[in-house]
Amino acid sequence: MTVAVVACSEAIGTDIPQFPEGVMVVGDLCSRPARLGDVIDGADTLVLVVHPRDVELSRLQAAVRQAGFDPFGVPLVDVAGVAGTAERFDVIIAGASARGAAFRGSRPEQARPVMSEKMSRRALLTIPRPFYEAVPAIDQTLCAAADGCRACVELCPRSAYRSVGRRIEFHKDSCITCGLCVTACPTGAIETPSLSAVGLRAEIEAIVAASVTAGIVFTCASSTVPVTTAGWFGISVPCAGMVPGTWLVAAVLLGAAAATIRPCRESGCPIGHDERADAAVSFGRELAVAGGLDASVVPDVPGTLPVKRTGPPVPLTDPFGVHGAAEVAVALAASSEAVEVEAPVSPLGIIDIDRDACTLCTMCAETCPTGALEHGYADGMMTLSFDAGLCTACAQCVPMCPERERGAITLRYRTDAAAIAAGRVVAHETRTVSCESCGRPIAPAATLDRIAGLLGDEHADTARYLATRCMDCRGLTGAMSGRPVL
Amino acid sequence: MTERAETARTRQGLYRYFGGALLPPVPERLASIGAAGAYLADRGLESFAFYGSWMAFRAAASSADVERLAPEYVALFASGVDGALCPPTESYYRGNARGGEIARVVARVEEEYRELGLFVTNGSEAPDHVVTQLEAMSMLCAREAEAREASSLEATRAALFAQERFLRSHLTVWLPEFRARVAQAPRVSRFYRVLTEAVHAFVVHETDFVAGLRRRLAEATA
Repeated sequence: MTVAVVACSEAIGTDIPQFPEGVMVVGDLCSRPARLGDVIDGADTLVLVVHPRDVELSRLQAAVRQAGFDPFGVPLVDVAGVAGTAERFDVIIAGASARGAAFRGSRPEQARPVMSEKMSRRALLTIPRPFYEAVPAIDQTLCAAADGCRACVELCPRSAYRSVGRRIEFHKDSCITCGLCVTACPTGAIETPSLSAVGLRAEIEAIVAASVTAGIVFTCASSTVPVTTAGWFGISVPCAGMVPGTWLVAAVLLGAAAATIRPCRESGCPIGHDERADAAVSFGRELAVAGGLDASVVPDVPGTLPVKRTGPPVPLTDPFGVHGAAEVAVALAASSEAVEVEAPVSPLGIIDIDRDACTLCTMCAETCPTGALEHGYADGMMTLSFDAGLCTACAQCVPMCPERERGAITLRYRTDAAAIAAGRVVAHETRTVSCESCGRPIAPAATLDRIAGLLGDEHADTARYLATRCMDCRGLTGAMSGRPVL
Repeated sequence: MTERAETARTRQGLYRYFGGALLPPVPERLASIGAAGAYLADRGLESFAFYGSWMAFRAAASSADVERLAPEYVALFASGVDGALCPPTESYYRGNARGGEIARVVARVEEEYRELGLFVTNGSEAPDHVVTQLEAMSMLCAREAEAREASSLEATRAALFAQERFLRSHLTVWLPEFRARVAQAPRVSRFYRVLTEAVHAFVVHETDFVAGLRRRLAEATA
């Protein structure tokens, strides 16, 4: 990896006395960026140190493009955040470089042009140069909408996702780039170029490798105040409300001394997501304590750093990915007996099936986007099984259950390492009734019993008939024998 | 060219540029694409999000071998609707071959051209062919440029509205699948892979960009 770090010359003397050796300083980088390609020849990763409030984004992005980079893959480091010691500068640049190096490109659908709102009537006919915001896009090959998943539609605070037939359409004009959909999508089909699981992990690992005792603060990208608390380093995310509590614990397991979330404004999040962030911090702390860590590793706000956890970083495969929460819980369980936390913001769930109410119609399993619920048929038995390690608490299964009002299915927002470690367990099973005519299975006995109950004594013949003939044999034998034809 | 019409004229040229690249490859055409690329490189395209995709295509076009591209073009796009690996026509992706649906899609596109005051001349590609649709968009950009040069807000607004409607009704609907099909075609050359990626990136950008321009104009004059 060859990294070019380019800083705005206007920062010298005001925010920082001198940039460390190796940093290329360019005049007017923020307002009138020169041809970056001339100074970064050969680099495969680019990091820019700028004054975010002074940046002419349209010009800067154009310069970055001209230098051969995707602007979404070039971290912008706030010069005010790196002011301080040379060590602090090095740690921040190490993190940003790792994030930039982990960038794997963006898709055309993930860019939204934004045009200047300032416009005189005379300028109406002149086309402004836009800058671009990163927005999410759906990878249709991963999307589970065809199976009935509507998690993004239900969650999006601005109705940017709309269900159209068996597909989900994303309307980028409505998106406020909060990123809730990215962490909530049960299959990882929604991606934004401004944040990836791989990039996040790379950035945190680079920071903790460069600083013996680093605290990690997930900060809202809208925040105008850089993280300057000694020992703490900011990780920019689209919105503080999108961060699951398990990310905080993951950062600690990867080697951070502590981790927390900082919402965008002291006056509160304009879209009301600060409560989500607070709840995620509480959840992360509770989970950390359940896993044998000290509560101080997940503080409410960045402050005095706790003594760092002893031992090497825990080897985690994909802690910020779709099933990262399960991986974190299991990792915690290695040093603690009972890692169980129940809270509405739990990124994992437990499905309980009431065997008396469930008819094993399998609608829940058909809808489950992650395969946490599965059904199977073998040796005359229909089985419904559940794997807690795959459940993302998306709650898509519950409304699909025709017996939900009888309590057939319940979702508990619970992170439970023991349940995850148990792997796939049978939630319900029942024998399947076979066709008296051809011998093939008709339906689970529980389903047929439920239908008989609903039909009542008045239609007992019909119920008996349904329980003796499969779909293929019903019309034929019914017509021939004078039995009811459905 | 006045400054206010410059972007519209550049976009007009880009539609023609991409349309030309999707026509059968002959040496003269490839030379024209190279020359047009050099001209467009000075038009400030780095300001737009599709710049990287376009530059990737320029690089591929600069080293393209027409002897190898010609048979590939036939296999990919020009062996008839049933034979081509990736038919470059809207009806293939939106129409069901049975029940005259393909003809209905083509007729619908033709009807839309008529409403826009455009006509497909004899000897051109089919009305629903990607080249014809790109050409139609090029003409709508020309109208926008003329409207801007004439300082006509109303005509500018109408041209933007027509562009957005045409893009949303046609190119944005089927181009993603067309692009994916080309990317997955066996032994596809870099030239056609990056070309269809660039066209797709350009059209996606155009849809957002034109919608933004139209909204901006509507809000400012409301």
